[in-house]
Amino acid sequence: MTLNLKRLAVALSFISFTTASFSQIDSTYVEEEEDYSMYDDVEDVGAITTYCSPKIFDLSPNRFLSIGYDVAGNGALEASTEGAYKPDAAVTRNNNSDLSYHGLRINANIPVISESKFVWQVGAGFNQSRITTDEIPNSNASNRYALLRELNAGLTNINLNTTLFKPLGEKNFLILQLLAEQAGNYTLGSSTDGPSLENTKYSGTAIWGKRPHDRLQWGIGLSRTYRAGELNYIPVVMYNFTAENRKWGTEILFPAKAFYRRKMNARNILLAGYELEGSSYRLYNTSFTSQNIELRRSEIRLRLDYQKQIKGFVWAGIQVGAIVNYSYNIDDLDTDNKDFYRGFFGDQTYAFSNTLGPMPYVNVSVSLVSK
Amino acid sequence: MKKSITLMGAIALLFAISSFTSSLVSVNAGGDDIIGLWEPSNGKARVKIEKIGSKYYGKIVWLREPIDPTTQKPKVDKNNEDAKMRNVPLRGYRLLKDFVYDEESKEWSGGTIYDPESGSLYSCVITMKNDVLNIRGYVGVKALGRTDTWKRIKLKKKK
Repeated sequence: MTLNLKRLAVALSFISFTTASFSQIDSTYVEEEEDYSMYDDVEDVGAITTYCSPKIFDLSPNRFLSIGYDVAGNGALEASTEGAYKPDAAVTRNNNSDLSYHGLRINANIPVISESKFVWQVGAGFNQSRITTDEIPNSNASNRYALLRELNAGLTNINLNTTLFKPLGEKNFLILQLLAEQAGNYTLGSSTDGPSLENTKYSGTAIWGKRPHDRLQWGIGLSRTYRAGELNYIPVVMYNFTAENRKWGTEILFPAKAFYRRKMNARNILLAGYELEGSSYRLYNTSFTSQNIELRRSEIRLRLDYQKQIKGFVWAGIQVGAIVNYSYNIDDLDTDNKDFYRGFFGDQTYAFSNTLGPMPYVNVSVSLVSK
Repeated sequence: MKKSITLMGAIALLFAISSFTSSLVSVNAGGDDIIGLWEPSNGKARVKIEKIGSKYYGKIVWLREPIDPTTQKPKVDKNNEDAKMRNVPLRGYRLLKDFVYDEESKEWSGGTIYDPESGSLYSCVITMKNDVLNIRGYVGVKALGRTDTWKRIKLKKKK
């Protein structure tokens, strides 16, 4: 009996030992030949609904976190004095200066929920424009150079945004984007010159789209936006496409941006096209007659954008191009401080009617991405 | 003397049983439920998850479009960062690697998932509920990731 117990103990110990040893054989595992045709005919056991993906093949990488620096200049600023200018009025602009700017751009975009049936991302951005102009006379006697003095404080844009992607089955989807931004000539940390919550600007875009296959995604929608500087309501068209040879494609959300994409390989991408950038910047504590004034700043950035994988999910990007000014006018929101819609046909007057000439620009960035 | 030997034998037996059962638990307890055939939500592939040693691996055993339309040859891993891997056929490719089952959290973790469409390798954690796998690939931390659902499938029985 004693012997039998010992033998059993030894046998069990041996089995236990060999089981443990088996778990260490990964490196010597030899793949068996397999007849893959046996996997052609299958039946479901689990039940899930198939949803379309929010992406298509080869889109430029989605940026979780991006830190960049932007340098632009010089552009010829021709500014009017404070007044009331109809949109189509002939304006004498004799406050001229060369203007350039540079600044930090930090953007984050974090997925809160990212599943096949629903994607919800939350993001934040900090974009700075440190503006320099030609030497400004010290005289405060007139407002001739007042605008230049206010711009010299620099412009800052802080925003919070969220994106919802809801697939409606295998082919259709909805996208909803919301943005709240604080744009102005304020300085972070200062208690005297803003920003003020009541001047927050809200934008939103809703798109219904189709994804017929892995290389095409298109959609149509409506947008409330400040990309043109002032408040606008515009239709939008989305068209993301990748050619069958996977060498080129498009990334379009018209009119906000349109790019031709050239994929050199999975780690090097070149984009060529434009992006419309803009916002309404509150000018705080100015020497102007009105205190509720906003710079309707909007620019078209024509560019070549080269993106390269550095290592793993870290990518670097360099943009080289020209900024074409779309709007640099200033609106007076009157004493009730309520924004208004001028659109393309409204005739509300501007407080300043300005133009800003084209300028070259460069942007370099490093990003943590998901492909 | 005989009594003491019997006691020693009993202790050895208890130790061995304990050791054996604990090894069985660590090998099987729930972890092997993941073994089998699965289909990602896009339906473009079928993945066979198997156990090699103490870890779980998943390889592509079927592709909906096995031929590359550009080359008219079987698809290969052409997006891989490693140039030496770019001629490796996708069918048979092990895209899930090195998962270990954690009995406490009921999840398979510590492994990676490879996305052949982008050539990216993500950290990954897998959970299972009712024959559906939730596969979360992520960059660095779990928050920076995306979850895909895979359904279990099985081979049809030959008539």
